[in-house]
Amino acid sequence: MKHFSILLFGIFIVLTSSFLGLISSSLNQLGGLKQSTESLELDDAGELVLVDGDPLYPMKLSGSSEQGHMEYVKLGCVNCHSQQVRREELGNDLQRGFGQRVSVPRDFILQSNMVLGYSRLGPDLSSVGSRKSDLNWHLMHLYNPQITSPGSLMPPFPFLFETIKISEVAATSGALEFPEGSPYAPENGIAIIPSRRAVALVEYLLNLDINYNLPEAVVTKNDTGE
Amino acid sequence: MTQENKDLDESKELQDDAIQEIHQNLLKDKELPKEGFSFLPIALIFLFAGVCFWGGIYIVTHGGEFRWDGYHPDFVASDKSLSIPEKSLFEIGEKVFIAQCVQCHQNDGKGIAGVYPPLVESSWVLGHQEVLARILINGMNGKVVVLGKTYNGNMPAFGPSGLNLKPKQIAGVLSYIRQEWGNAGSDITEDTMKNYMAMYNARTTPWTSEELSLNLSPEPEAPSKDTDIDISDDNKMLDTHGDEDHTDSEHSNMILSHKEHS
Amino acid sequence: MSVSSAGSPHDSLNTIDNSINKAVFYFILSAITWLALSSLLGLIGGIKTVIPSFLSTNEGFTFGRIQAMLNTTLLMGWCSNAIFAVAFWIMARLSSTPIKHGGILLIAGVIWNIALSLALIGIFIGDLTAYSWMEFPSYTSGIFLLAYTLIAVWGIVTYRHKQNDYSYVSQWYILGGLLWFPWIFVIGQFFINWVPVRGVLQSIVHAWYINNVFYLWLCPIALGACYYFIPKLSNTAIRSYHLSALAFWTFVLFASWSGLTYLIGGPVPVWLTTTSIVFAVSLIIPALIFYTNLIGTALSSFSQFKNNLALKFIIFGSAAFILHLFVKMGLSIRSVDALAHFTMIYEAHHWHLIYGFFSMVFFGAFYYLVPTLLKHSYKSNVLPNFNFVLSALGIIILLVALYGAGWQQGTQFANAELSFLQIANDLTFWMQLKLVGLTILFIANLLFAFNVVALLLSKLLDVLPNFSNDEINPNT
Ligand code: HEC
Repeated sequence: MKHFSILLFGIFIVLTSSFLGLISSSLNQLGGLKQSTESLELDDAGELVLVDGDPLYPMKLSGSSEQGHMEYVKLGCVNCHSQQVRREELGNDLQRGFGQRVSVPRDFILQSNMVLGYSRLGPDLSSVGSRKSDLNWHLMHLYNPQITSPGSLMPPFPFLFETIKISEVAATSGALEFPEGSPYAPENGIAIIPSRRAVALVEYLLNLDINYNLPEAVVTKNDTGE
Repeated sequence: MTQENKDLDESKELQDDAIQEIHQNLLKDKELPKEGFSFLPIALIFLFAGVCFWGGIYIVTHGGEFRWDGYHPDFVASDKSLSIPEKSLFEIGEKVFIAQCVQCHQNDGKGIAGVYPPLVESSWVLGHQEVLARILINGMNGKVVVLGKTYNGNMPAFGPSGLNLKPKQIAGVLSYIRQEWGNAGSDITEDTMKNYMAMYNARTTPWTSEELSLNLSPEPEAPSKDTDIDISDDNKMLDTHGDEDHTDSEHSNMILSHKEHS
Repeated sequence: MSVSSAGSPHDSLNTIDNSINKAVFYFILSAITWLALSSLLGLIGGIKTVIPSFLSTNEGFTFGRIQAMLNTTLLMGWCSNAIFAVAFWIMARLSSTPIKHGGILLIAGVIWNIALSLALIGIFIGDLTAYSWMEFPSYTSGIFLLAYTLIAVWGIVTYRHKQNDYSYVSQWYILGGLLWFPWIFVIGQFFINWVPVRGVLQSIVHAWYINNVFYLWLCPIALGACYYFIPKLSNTAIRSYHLSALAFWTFVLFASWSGLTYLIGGPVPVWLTTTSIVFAVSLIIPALIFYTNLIGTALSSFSQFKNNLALKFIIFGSAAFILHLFVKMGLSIRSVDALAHFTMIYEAHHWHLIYGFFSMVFFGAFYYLVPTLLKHSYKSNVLPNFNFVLSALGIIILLVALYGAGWQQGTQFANAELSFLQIANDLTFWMQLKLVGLTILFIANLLFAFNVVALLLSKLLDVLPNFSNDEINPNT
């Protein structure tokens, strides 16, 4: 059956071509990217090499930040938040303080479970750590965004927190500190304690910051917006 | 043609085999002048050609030259050469100092009284460059008098017989200690350091304080600080692996520029 | 004219239909169940974007998980089961070959649905992945693949053993779709879950995966159905049919290369997106041919179109599809994307494909298929017609709301003075409109399920009394 084999062949070629053209070639191009120092130097042979002794970027996330990243994935934050800084003319990312420079592939080489994002119902979080660096603010925002951003469309995540009775003796450390007179604050004698997951998630958020140079992407803007 | 089908079937539906047969015949009978639709294939051919033409040009002009580091649609690799912000000797030295020296000489450069000599205001530090170079390259043993106090210890070698730092790093750390904490010495350049290393790398024993002041060559002139280096396109090589003699062709062509986009 | 030599054409049709009756009904029933579930999830998601605290105390119902379950039920539940039901039937009919081993199809279908249920439970308890449209946990992907292989083999075997020499373009689309899906699925799973690549490479694979699942899995099968039902129901040959082969090859080739437009402006080498843009714009060629082939044919037999329920659904779907392609081309242009990126326009675009095109075509197909297989037709067409009106209305409102919301978002993004809190708050009107659309769709989908099940039940009630006679006398 000649016709059948031609059809099969065509069907095969179509998908193979786009696989080879788009995926294989980018694997080939980007698969070997390594961490790099902020700038390069010339070695004796006149080639650009990493600067000896400088820290390598992007840095590895700490264990609990890594766990926070998993929480981020599991709670579906990616539905509303992106993590990529785009060129200024595409939505004023730099001016909004989403990062100090445009993000490039090397920024992500250590990540799996990529959360580049596809929607910005909420702001980009690539550099949220530098914009909002207060642990309590983040915890409160997660507990109920209405406390910190009245009218926010972000859902609350109360299940990441425990409500406990404060015993007279042991003052509770780590409880949320609500602003004076907040309608969301618990009654006296009750404290809201973040779970380990909430703390890990916030630690991850606080660590998010694109503030380093890479040889191919140099920080262009110094003030972080806030 | 449509009448034909209607004749084929009385019911309001085409039967499956009729669908196939009719269409098979339609395929054989390629021109359909009656339909008044024959302009469509011609228009399509023109459109196809137009799309191919535009597509080719668009990919070539906005494709970032197919490089891994072309991120801007108007990227042109040869536009501007990269200027690497070269770190000053002082900055390099600071890193080396923190990594290698603070344990003994301390952050403030004052050492530990009676055990490790201070670097601040020390005439050894601010004195002849060759002496400093010798100490760093080969280390130092025995008694030494610093700012009127006697110390007795071992200073490790940082040259090839010891920690094997590069000339630039030794030059850096020496420049650093000569200029930090209010010290006002000159830089010791990488070139100077290379000369000294050529002279003393072979030596394997540490120096003693008496030996140090013997056979000194004249001090080199204080050079001007080197700043940014412009690298021409030909040697834009990025070794992502950090070892000098290996360059991965795919990743070595790094992009040095983005077309200025205003 | 009749090709099958044995018996009258009607007999052979019966054999073909009977060969997959059980399996097709199983797939139809699963499809409508998942559809109902997905529209419930959609509704919950819609409420959440208006009242964020709705159902927020339970982790499983948090917005991200609802969204993940919604995507999974839609894609792996409704769309896939509907495809299994309709694609095999069309394939068997056009190849004049009964499907062999309908029993295995049935078992495979059960496995598929078990995998899907597992996946939904997995997502509910937090095993979702970070990738939209492939959120199902990686431990279910193997089961999906197994079930799929068992299912798809029969479609391909049927085509291979077709009894006639004809090969109609519907068969190409269906064969292509059946062959492409496992491949796309494996590549997606391989590079993202099994042997993960890192960094933006994952995003590249993901963008390629979504695009190909949409345009080389959902679209070909739905197009195959369009090419089958439109001439059949309007009793006219496809207009300019000789161009349909060109449309087939250009569509699948260009569409499969056009996936990385999702990453325009993102941290990927620019040549990837540029290449995809060129192919996306080239889709204008198949889009024009689809227009003449599908809409042209339908318009030339307008009277049929008005009276035929299934045809109405299918024409609506085809028109939505052509519009969808033009939107896709538009969105791939850099300056348009600059406005549309990260807005709800992309969400709208997905709904546009899945509800506007795919679901409408398959509603139509079901409204033809179910009565035909049951040999039992609707006593009154009021409810099915009402279903059409509701579905069309719901989809139009939903799309207007989301495209409108996206447009507004996009213009506001460009204004750096406006905070995201402000931008999100300004969406209230559109989000409420979206909720209205989702509610109408929810009702429409329930009505659809009701109509199908009611017909089934009424047939059963008809048959039951003389069931024993049927058993004894197989010829009736
Ligand atoms: C339904 C969409 C939605 C989801 C899901 C969502 N967010 Fe948000 N997020 C928003 C919106 C809208 C804002 C802006 C208003 C505000 O500050 O609350 C926001 C703001 C934020 C901010 C403040 C950023 C800034 O610069 O002010 C942080 C941090 C944040 N979200 C983190 C998260 C995390 C972590 C998750 C997942 C657990 C998450 N969001 C899930 C919509 C969402």
